[in-house]
Amino acid sequence: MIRLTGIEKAFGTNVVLHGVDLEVKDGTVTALIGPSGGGKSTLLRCVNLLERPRGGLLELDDLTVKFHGNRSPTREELHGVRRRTGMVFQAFHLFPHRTALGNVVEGLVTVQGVGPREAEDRGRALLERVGLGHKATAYPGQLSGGQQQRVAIARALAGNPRVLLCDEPTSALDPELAREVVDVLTALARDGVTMIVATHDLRLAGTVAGQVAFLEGGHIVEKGTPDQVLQNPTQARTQAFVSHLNS
Amino acid sequence: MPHWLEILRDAFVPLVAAGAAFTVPLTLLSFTLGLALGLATALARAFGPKPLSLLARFYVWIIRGTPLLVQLFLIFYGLPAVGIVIDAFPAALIGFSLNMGAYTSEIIRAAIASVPQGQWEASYSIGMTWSQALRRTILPQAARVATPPLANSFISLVKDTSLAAAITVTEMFQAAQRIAAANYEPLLLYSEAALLYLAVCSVLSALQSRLETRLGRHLSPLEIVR
Repeated sequence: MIRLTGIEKAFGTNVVLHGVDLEVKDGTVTALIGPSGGGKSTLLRCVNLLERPRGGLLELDDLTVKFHGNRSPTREELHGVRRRTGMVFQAFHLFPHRTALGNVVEGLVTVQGVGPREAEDRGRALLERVGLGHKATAYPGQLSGGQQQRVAIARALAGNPRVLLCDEPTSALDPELAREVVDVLTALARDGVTMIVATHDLRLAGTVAGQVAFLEGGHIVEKGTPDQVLQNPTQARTQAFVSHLNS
Repeated sequence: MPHWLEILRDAFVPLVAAGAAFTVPLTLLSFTLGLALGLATALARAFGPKPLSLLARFYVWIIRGTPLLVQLFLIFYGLPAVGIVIDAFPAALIGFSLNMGAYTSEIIRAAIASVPQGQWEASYSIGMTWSQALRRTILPQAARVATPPLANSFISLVKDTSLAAAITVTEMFQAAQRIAAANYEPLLLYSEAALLYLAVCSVLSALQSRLETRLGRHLSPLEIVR
């Protein structure tokens, strides 16, 4: 279970999250939708502490991190949070100097101290899972965008995170390549991988997700099931935004 | 055998011997120490706390702003005045390392900055600490960017070690000077020394190309600028 309570984040004097509450149950997918600059990415990045909130509470299963003011998270908190989360970036951010397999096993070997043999077995299994078992020795530069993002998903899953955080995973891809990535995420959702996905993709928000939150101006304007938020939104702002998604 | 060729032949062994005994070790040691100092300085300047960062900038400012020859004279001839006496070879080693450190620190700093921020974030997201991210993700990529300018510095250093002659180190140029003083053949001797420096630098240039290929083996052909 992931629970965010009153998460507040500001860059300088610019407040980008005004006390956001969100709960994600194990084995479910939550989609964050909303306009660019509305706080989707920042909220995701607060969950794995790439951004440090200035207030609020983050609960990841048994781990609770409380934020106040400029306090930096402790090493233990950072380590605990990163172990429990995996992140997929809009621009992939694969390690260009490592092969697909090298990317996937990097965290296992460097962070978790898994032996090279076992790491390789687990890495190959993860690449199979995203349909790229045959690309283990390819470098990121030799892969299509869709393939790169699938490697990035495998890399994010390698540490067995409790939640996979996806920051607009298909936004840098053409529709065909986006499809590959959506298919992989759909399969993961079916397998019970807990996910929070910031997205403009209706397939992810409408089909894969069990919960949709519309985020604008640092507030969750509306949240509920995809049917509620995407088909019958109650807020005028949500209605306006969703109508553009559908067109 | 013509006379000039005999002179070159006779000087060849002493010149190469001086090169092997002083020029090459001085170059390799100064470069290694300078690179370590450059890395430390770059990290201090880019990531260190304010006082450390300022110290790094101060060091680079002083070294880059004063002539290498003057630095060598200060260390070898100047420091004894305050009771610090250093032999010629270690004095040269200190001077060249300090010099190398200042210049390479700027190369390394720029190379680290050239690695996209996303690489740090991806490293953190899989649980790496700052030092793991630096070692495993950032420096390997920075190394490829830094190789051509570092090779520049290295090749400059090979030739700059001839300045050590001025503080009595009997490196290759000093050896050429001595022989020329004895046989009055400065044109031949300095030409031979020049050719030997050129030979060493040519080998280094070839090694640089191989290193660049190796560090860039993950790149697609379009990303490689030859």
